[in-house]
Amino acid sequence: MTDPTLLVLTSLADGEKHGYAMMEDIQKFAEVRLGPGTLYGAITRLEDRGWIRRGKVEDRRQPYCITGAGREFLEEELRRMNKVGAAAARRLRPA
Amino acid sequence: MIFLLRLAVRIYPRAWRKRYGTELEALVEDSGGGWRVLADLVWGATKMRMTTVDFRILAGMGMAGLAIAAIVSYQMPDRFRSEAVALVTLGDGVDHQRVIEALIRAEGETLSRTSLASLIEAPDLNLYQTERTRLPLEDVVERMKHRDLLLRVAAQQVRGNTAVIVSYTGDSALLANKTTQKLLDQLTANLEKDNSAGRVKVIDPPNLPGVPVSPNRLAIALAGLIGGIASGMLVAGIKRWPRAALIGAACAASAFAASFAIPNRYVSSAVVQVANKATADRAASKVRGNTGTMRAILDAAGRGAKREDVGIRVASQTLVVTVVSRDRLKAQTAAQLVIEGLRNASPESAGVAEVLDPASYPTAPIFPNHLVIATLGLVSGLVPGMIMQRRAKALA
Repeated sequence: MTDPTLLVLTSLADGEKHGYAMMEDIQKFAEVRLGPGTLYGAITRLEDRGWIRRGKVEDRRQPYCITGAGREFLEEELRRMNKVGAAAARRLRPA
Repeated sequence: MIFLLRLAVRIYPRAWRKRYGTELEALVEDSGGGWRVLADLVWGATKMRMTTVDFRILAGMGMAGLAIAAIVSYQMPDRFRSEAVALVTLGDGVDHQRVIEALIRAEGETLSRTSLASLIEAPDLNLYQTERTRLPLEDVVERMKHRDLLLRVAAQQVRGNTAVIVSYTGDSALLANKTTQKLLDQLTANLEKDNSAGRVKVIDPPNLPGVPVSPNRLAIALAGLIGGIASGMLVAGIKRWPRAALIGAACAASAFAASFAIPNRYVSSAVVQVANKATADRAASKVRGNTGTMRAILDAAGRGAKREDVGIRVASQTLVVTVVSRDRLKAQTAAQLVIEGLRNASPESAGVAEVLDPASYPTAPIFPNHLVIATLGLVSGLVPGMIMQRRAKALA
């Protein structure tokens, strides 16, 4: 999974984070280093869709948190990925 | 590096920067920078720009321009160019300079308005049928001379001989071929009646072209794309600077209207050929120096005519006459008087002076150029308009 939108939503699923914290977190759980341009591209799309919202600003750093709609979308995506993963595992198993 | 990174953040659209600029700059500082970060920022900014309304306007109008240009280019008729090369050999005791002089004379005769007009109206050619229904024959001749016809003396000599290239671009391959042949025949006849030149030998007869030389559809499509993008920039500019655009348009309209108050100036031109360059120089200086003749010419040119408005340019044994006047008929009459003056200037020239191009009747003024004046008005309105709008924004 390398879609920046899903990575950001996953990172925010356990609480609000600002940009740098998201970058570090994503590198830890997905082993992907998002650049600032890519990260803010994803943040712009997610905020426009109402899947994340802004928290209280801390010294130029803007934290974001996931919304109910964002959580629903992430859960739906997770179910779909699990389904695809299960199918792949079944098919890879020797007959 | 930090300077470059900040610069990259500035590439993002203004509205986006207003929303995310500060936090993105903070993130860039936290992440430590580097070339990968810079590349990521530039790519992110480019993608963000592509989503803006301005980009969509530019892309949309660019594509529309491209499509229109492509359609127009396929509506344009194919044009074919036929070319011929002839060698003018030196006659006994004739030097190269005299051959060149003879060639200039023959070229002047071949390209004279009378000669080209008879070629256009020749029944077997019947050139520029559509144009002749809309334009005076003089304008059609000018179009032929400056757009479609080429008569060039090669700078390099070929084994001591002078090469002449004749080419014509026409609506069909056969027409181009036949017209080039006729032009070559006329040039040959004009050269051969002149004893100072040698013999003319056609080394490359007019070809029957197989592939059209125009329209260049790729270049037209590209021009359409660029034109479309430029129009898009104009629309985007009007959207961003509405007040400046309004002031600019008002100034352009005022300047355009005011330009009609400036009196028109017309130029009539004629070409006279005399025996040699010395005669030409003498005739020109005699006309310029004769107070009575000049007064008559200036009187004929009408109110406000000055000596500078009467031009007599000597090119080898050819005299090019131009007269500028506020009235087109007066310009032509004055040019005719200059021709008469040149003919009478010296007893030597009187017998041999030949009018290659009689005084033309000008159809369009050479001044003022209303479009240039309107453009100057637009620019002079745009600049203060932009300053005013920027100041108003800053105050708000």
